[in-house]
Amino acid sequence: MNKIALIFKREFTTRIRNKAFLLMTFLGPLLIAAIFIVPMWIQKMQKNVIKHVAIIDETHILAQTINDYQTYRFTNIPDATVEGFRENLAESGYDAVLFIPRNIYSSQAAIIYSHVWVDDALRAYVSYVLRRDLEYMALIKENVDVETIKRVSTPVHVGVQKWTKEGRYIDDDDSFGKKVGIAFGGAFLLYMFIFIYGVLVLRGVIEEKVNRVVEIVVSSVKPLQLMAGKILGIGSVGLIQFVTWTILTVGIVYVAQVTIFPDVYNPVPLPEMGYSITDNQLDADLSTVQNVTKIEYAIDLFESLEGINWTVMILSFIFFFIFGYILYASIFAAIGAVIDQDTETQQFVLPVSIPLIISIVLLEGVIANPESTLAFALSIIPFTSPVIMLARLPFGIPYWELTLSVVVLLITCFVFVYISSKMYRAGIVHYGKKMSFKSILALFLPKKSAD
Amino acid sequence: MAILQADEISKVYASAKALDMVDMEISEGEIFGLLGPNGAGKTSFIRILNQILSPDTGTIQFHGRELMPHDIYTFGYLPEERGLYKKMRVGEQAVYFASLKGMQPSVAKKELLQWFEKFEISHWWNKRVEELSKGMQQKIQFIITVLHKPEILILDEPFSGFDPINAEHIKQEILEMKKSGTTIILSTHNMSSVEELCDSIALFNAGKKILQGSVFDIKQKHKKNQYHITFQGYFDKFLAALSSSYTILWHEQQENQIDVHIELTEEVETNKLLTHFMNIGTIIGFKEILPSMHDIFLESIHNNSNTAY
Repeated sequence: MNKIALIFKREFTTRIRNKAFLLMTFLGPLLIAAIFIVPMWIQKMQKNVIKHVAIIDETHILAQTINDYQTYRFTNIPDATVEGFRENLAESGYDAVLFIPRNIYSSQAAIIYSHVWVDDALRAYVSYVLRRDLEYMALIKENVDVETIKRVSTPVHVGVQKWTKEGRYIDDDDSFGKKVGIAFGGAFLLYMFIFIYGVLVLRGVIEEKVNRVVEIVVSSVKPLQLMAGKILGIGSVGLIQFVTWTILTVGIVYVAQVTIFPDVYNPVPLPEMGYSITDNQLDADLSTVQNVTKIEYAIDLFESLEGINWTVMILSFIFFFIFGYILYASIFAAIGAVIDQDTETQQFVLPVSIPLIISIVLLEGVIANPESTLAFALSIIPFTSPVIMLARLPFGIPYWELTLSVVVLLITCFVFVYISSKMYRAGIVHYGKKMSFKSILALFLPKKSAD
Repeated sequence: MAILQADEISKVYASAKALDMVDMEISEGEIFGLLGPNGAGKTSFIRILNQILSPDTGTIQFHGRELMPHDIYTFGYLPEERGLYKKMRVGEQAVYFASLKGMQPSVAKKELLQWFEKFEISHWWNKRVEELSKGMQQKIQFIITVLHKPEILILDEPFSGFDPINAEHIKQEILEMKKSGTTIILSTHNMSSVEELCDSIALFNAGKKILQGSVFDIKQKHKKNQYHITFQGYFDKFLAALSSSYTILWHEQQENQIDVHIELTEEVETNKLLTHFMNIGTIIGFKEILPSMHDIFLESIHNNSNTAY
């Protein structure tokens, strides 16, 4: 049987049968899902806690339109004073006091008093309602007819629409949001993948060195075969683990969202403008406008991504995922071969990881502006291109850029696999001493004639 | 006929010359000892034979032709620094290494079971390596090394880590392998095992081969005309009879039995020596003293280092 296949098989089977591996494969999604579920749960808990807010309304009019909102229950207490509440808020049965001063027109301020830092949602709601009603009353005072007010209050939705160079409609807001999601998701997945399994390659190499098993192995196979089998074996195990993680995590979060927290992500919208809330006319106008947009462009995510070509996108995704991993894993393998102890790994992992970390730091900028020079440069440089290309891909990039990036990454991969295999070959049989920089360099210099 | 022949092998590392124009001939079916102090270049030479390293200059001939990559299937190598995958099970791991040497897993398993039975370790098959003691692991490694019936068996310090009983066990296995025609290259510091096992040796020092030949020839070459005589009589008479041709190196007297080491300072026939002493007592024993490999080792290294500096 092929040597690489034998090495691959051992790496694959011993790892996949490992109890810790199995545990992490199924425990991991629970932990990751917890990151999403715990905030939802906390939010749900908060939602169920009713908070009572007392209103002291010196205007005797504005309090009327402040209705109960989400978990807040408002009670207008006509004759109360702030001073009255100040020292016995806790005993009064209220969580907060909203004070609307008589001079709110000129001062343009109201205050919420509480023992705790009040929720932003409460502030936003109260200020929205007060501003709306004050504007309303001001207009009525200026003898503007109520009907006119209704007519002129026109909420405007500003949409964004992207065209291809040929003038085809591609992204709108909705699909853009989804693309941002895909971009972030893809880039992060690759980043995590390289980190977790690249370091696993490094540890595997060191383990063989420390165990002294490597000399027996390399007396039967070429170091390059050993390295290749190891990188591919660990990569495949990683891929399986990653796919399992992704599917299980998404599944768990989805099920939790649907069953336990159906209401968390449907926040109650702010109430519509005062008296116009039931204005059919205005609603009808607005929906017509939106419908026109929808009907005319007829865009959905699938079709909009067609502008890039699904096949190219998925193939590129797979390519960058695999070769990004191979590039870094071969570097990690070489490092593992030239250092001698597990304890030294950290100091070597960091410098190698810097391009990856830079990719992640700049990721947001790249996604916000996928056609910038920076984004272009980072997607050509082979050490950042896997992560950055995955982030740029959903937004559509010219084929020549994609081709250039693929070619550069391929060449770099070959060069680094070659360099790494040389270092690996020389390094794995050096026991008990770290290879000096000089001796590593000597591998790549022409040999001095043996005089 | 030489099964392995090395010509002008050199290997230079960044800072040091590990091997310097080494020639060597190893005959088919012999046990060949590689001797030398630490860092002399033995391990580098062994790694070149195993094609783990490639030499900077020189060639290795195997069966009269250049050594090829696929020849590693006919080599068995037990490194000095050796280990196994700790978490893997013994049997599975042995089959893995056998298949790396080109054996079919099913064949490997069958033959392994026979070896395990022979070594009375069948119950280890499903144990993890980390559950075994170091000596037990060494046994497994030895079996893995010889399982594919190599033509050339290279053993680097095979006895280290074994207790005397198991060392003897391994020694018998080595001799059996020799009987079945295997050529064995043995690198060791253990001179008594060299005396017992090796047909020929090569001695390395500082990257150079400084001595090679059959153990018999080398001993003959290094003998110093020294003899051990046991006789009954009087030591005074013995001393008085001593001529300038002999020097006494050492003597011991128990009652009237005397043991003497003498060195002949000039060419004197041993028969003459004996007639000389027959007159002063009764000769009980007479034996030529051959240098031990240990002495030859030390002397050669000493002389070589002196001439080198």
